[in-house]
Amino acid sequence: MLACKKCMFLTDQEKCPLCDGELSKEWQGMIVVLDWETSEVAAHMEIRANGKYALKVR
Amino acid sequence: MEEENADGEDLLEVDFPHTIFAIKTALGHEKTVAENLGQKGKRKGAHIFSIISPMKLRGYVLIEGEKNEKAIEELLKGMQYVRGIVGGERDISLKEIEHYLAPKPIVADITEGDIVEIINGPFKGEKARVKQIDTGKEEITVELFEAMVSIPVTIKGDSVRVLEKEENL
Repeated sequence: MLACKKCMFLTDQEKCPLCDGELSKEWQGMIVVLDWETSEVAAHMEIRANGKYALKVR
Repeated sequence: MEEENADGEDLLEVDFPHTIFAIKTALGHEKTVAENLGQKGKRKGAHIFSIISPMKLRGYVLIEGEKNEKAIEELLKGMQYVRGIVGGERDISLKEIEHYLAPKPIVADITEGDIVEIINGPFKGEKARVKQIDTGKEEITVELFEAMVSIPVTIKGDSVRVLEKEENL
């Protein structure tokens, strides 16, 4: 799994499906967002789509 | 606070306040638990909003959801690598976990001129002086003390331990 350097979305694709950003294999921590509209954590992290995200990308 | 409808079934649509639960997991399996919980939560329509596996919290994941411990316990039942909910009356607030969500850069505590010890890689155990810091890449360039010729070496910021700060030298 790779992480987008821009929005930190985790994906197996070649480009970030959310923002088309560059991907990195160096990432740490994970947040799985199931309901971004209700989640305070997602709001805090400015996440606006459900899915898996890294907490830190290099 | 359970109600019953006309058919005698429990009404599950009760509004619970939101909270964050800490879940104990097997060491090294935090991300697997977060992913599996995400899938199971979605499948079962559980009232959880996010699952967090912070890198500095080994052996735990955090679940953000409705404050319904029974529903969470039910969801966790039979899940591999899960050891149970961490008990306690007190709620975990977003403020308390904020630092896990935006971890400070690894090189934040390192300044140019610091003396560091390299803790992994081919130069493990060597002492060096920090010459340059790349915050974006979280890399530092150091000069090894023991080297015959001073050659700058670039290594990851988490490969060193600060021995002496520049201001104390």
